[in-house]
Amino acid sequence: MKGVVFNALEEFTDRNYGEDQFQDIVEECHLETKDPFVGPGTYPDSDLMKIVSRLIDIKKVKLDWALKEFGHFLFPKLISINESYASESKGIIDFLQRVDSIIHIEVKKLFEGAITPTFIYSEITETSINIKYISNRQLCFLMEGLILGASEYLNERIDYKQLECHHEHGCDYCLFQIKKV
Amino acid sequence: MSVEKKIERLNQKISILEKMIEDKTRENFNNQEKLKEQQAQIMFNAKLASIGEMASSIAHEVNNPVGIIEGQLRRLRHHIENGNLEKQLNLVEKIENNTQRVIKIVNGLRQLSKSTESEELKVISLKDFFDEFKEYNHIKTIDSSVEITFPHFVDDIQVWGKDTSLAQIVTNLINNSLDAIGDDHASWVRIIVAQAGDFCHLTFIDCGRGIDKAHISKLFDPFFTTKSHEKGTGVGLNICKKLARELDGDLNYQLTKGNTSFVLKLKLNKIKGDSTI
Ligand code: HEM
Ligand SMILES: Nc1ncnc2c1ncn2[C@@H]1O[C@H](COP(=O)(O)OP(=O)(O)O)[C@@H](O)[C@H]1O
Ligand SMILES: [Mg+2]
Repeated sequence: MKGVVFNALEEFTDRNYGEDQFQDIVEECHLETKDPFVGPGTYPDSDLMKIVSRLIDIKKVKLDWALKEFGHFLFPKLISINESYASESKGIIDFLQRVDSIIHIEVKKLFEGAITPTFIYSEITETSINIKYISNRQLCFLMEGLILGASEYLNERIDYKQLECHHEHGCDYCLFQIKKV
Repeated sequence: MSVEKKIERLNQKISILEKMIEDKTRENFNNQEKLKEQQAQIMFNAKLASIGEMASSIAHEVNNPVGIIEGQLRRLRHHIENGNLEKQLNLVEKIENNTQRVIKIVNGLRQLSKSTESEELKVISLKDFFDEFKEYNHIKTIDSSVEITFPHFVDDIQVWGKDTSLAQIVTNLINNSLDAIGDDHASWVRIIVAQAGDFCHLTFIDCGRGIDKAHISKLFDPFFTTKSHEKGTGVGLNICKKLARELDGDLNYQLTKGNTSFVLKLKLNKIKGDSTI
């Protein structure tokens, strides 16, 4: 995962659980990475998961909840990379379609070594969309938070649910249904 | 965390980022060098190919007079056997003329194989250039029934150029037209000359009705050709444009009254105090 994500996690952790919390956890975790994380760097996914696991242990929160909160926090950080990703879209349903076809493609050009998920869209109407999320990382809870972050950023309220989820049904994807309200 | 520790960590981050920037810069530089090398290789291949194209058209040119000389020698032997002195002399003169022609053509080849880069830019009289060109041109006009009209000069026009570059450009443009329009009595190629500001425009128009829109953007790309493998190399226009630019001019495609045309822009040699140019 890219350094931008680690840096956002540091900010998220320090803001919610107290200054230096992130650095303390990092020092306890025996990560593969020894240097401080910098935005353009690429670091092992396992380091990220070690930090997150340690964090939920200490704070006695659930993984799905923590990832969702983090995704929510992460979205404004990601969009600040290039605000026009959002301003060029015609609302949340259009924006979500641009994530796979434009944004993540641009992201991969910009950040060498970035690995982004695959989205397959279906049932598209003006006010609703289904997104099949496919990724070896299986971070559908992070995705939930990112979707909420996007809806807040674009000021369009939505309802979502996972019709199918890898963690519940064992399928190799997660299927989101998103509706404007 | 102490302020000192925070500052230390930030310093560490800064030096990591500096190293990343340095690596990226070096990588970009290396990529550029590689690109330059590849471009040089392409240009070199193109040059080889164009020399090949020239050589084969010159071989064609040389073959004609040599064939004629062969016939004349046979007749000369006949007249020597018959002792007809007047006819003998007459034939020797003809053979001399044809031999001169071969020498001129071969000299032309020698000039072409010289690099145009080493040749100095000089003032060229277009009138003289075209007079020479018509006489010793390296084009397939000899056997062609296509009507070729060279520019007509009331007053001479002087441009900055190199003889070999100009000859190469004009040859290729005319050959391209001949390839495109077919050998037909109704076919024609016209070269028109006009002055515009600091430049002279030589417009090569043929009776073709323009080039396919899909091809236009690729015309000047090296190796772009619509011709068969034996006929086309696709380097002609690419090299001609490069040569024209070496002369501070340019070469571009345009449609002239619905006909295919290429405009060769050359820098005028303005004579001091002459306001008519
Ligand atoms: C401005 C918009 C966005 C930007 C710039 C962006 C950029 C990124 C970046 C840099 C990563 C990390 C890739 C890596 O470290 O290898 C990432 C991952 C991810 N993105 Fe986005 N993203 C954006 C919007 C979204 C949205 C709206 C969603 C959800 C609908 C989303 C879903 C994800 C997920 C789930 C991942 C985690 C990687 C995975 O699951 O394989 N992104 N994105
Ligand atoms: N006068 C013309 N009329 C039509 N097409 C032309 C003309 N001149 C050039 N072209 C097109 O441009 C292509 C490239 O020309 P050139 O670079 O000289 O290479 P080549 O003659 O070896 O094909 C030709 O194959 C042809 O398709
Ligand atoms: Mg050609």
